[in-house]
Amino acid sequence: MNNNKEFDQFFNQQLNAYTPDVPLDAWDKLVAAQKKDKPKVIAWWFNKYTMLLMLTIASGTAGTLLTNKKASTISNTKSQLNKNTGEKNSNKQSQLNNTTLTNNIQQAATLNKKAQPLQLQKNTATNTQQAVIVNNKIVNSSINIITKSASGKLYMQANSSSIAKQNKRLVQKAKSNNTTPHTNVNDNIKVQFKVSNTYTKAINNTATTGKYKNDKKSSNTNQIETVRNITINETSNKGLHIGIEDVEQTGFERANKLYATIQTITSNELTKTGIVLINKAALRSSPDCPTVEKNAAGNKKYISIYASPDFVTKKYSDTGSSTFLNKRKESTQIISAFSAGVNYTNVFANGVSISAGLHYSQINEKFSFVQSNIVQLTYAINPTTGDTISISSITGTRYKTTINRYRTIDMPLLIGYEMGNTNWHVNIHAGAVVNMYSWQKGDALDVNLKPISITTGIATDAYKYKTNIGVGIMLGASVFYKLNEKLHLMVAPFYRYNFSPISNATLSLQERFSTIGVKLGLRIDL
Amino acid sequence: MTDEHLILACIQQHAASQKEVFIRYSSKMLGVCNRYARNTADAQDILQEAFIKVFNKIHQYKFEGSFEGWVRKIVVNTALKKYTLNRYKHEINGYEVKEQDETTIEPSSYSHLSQKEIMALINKLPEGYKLVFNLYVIEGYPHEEIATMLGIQPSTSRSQLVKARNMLQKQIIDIQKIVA
Repeated sequence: MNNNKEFDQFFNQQLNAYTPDVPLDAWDKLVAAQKKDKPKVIAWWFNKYTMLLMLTIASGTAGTLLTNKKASTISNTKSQLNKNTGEKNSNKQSQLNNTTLTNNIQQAATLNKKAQPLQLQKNTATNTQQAVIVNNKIVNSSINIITKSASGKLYMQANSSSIAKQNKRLVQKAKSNNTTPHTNVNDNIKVQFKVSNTYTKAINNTATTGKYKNDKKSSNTNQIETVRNITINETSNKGLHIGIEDVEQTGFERANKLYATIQTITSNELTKTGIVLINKAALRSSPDCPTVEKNAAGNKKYISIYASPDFVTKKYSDTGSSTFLNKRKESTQIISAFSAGVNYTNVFANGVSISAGLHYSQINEKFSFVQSNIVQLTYAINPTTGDTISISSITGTRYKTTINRYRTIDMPLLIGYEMGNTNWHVNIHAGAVVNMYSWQKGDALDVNLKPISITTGIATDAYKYKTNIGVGIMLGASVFYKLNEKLHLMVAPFYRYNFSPISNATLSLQERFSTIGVKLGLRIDL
Repeated sequence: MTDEHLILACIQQHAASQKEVFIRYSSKMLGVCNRYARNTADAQDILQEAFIKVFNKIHQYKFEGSFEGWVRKIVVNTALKKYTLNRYKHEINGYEVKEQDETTIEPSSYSHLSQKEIMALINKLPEGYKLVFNLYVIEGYPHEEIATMLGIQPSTSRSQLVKARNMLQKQIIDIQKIVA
């Protein structure tokens, strides 16, 4: 031991005092590198985690922008429709002026079918009358918020039970105020819309004359209201219908809560009859459900390119020693896996799809081996005299860590069903994964619990792995978002199971992989 | 100018003071770099990178302990980062030592060796041995700390040190044979 200490001390003294000459340009190089080195701060931040974060933010922003764009497109379409309707109204105005109420109803209904919602601006009395008729006969009215009972009382219908309960309370409150509604012909019913949240969209100024009158807007940011007077034109137990168009025209479509106060005016007396909380969710049109759409999803040919982070599980089975099986399990750990590929897909007119492609996958596994109590002797011999100069023995533990890699190239043959609309497609598929070639590299424990190199396809080596692992199955669902006419963004979770083990059939211990992944990629519309 | 004045000036990004610090310590630190690097060019790269770190982090120096020791620590860490992390993460293959017999080499057989000759012997060691020998014998780190720095077991560090010593002693014996 003393010899070692002296030896170490000597090296320490000598090397600590070692001061080689520094090149003359070292400082200049350092100054230059210092200036160049500053952007490294950015580079450090631009690592994989930052990339992931940025990707998430970018996706979110893109999603928001796309949604807004879609909403804007709808809004523009509506404006266009309103404009067209207005023009149509204007053209029809002269004809409508002198027509009977029945004619108005028919024409308005026709107009309403062609272009909805109907905008009520700068209307003449006749036009307003027409509009009233239109709104009393709204074709696509989705809710009735008030109906007239046999006894002449007003009550509400709502799609949601909670809304219905709330409305019932409001009506009861109105009743307790000794209000007696009347809904006779020529009665004026005033419907007052109110919102209770901040809302900045301007409300359209509607006609101030005619039966659809007294519309107004409030600039109160917490409460905006508009009032519409509707004349009951016929005695009916069907009640008063207020449709989506009424609400949209008030500019309340983006409000969180919308109240409608129902009032009736009889002989110029205003009688409050109830307050209705309109279920906004019911007013909003539901998002399109994916349906088979021949023009959108069918009769198409695509090529998809993707990559996927994979989650892999390895299953062992052993007909022999359970100790060996346990040691094998303990010695390995899956650390990462990924796959990538390209697919050709043909979607037929009826939505059925077939696809084939090439799929590369790689599984990375950590192999750890520890062997205790190894004794190693080292002899130093003088070659001239043959004398032993020194002997050292080492008793210790041997260890080995290797990253094993299992790679396969497969051909997936899948059959599926695709549905979608203009922007979104969903494809559910299943099929066979035919292995074309497999190769492996690394170490594994042999039956003697010693590390042995993995070999692929060498017939003479007992510890070989297969070059072909046969057929497996793949199940999955792909969701596509149309970026433009040619490109679809693809997210496709999948599950893959291999029937055959990767290890040689002559071994008692067999290994199988099963994989869950999410393919992320692009699909090109051919 | 004292080290303290120089450091304060360096904190203020004073270029002349930075140059002075470099002139004072670069030669000694290049000696450290040479022991870890594979070649002279690598050693100069490590030196440059380490001094950039020194100037960027000099405000973190707390005036506790020697400034040379602080700089040296940065140099060693820079060298380790360059050479060890990836290798140790991906594959470790070696032996762990629990006990060892004494070797029989006498001090007289190596006391005459020059600094350059010793450096040459160190650089002939396999990388793993060289790292542990440098960290333990020259820098004075305990095995536990070396293990943390290299991401290995303390026993591994011990075994690498033993093997490094054995190999150095064998090399010294070989030199003697040639001389004889």
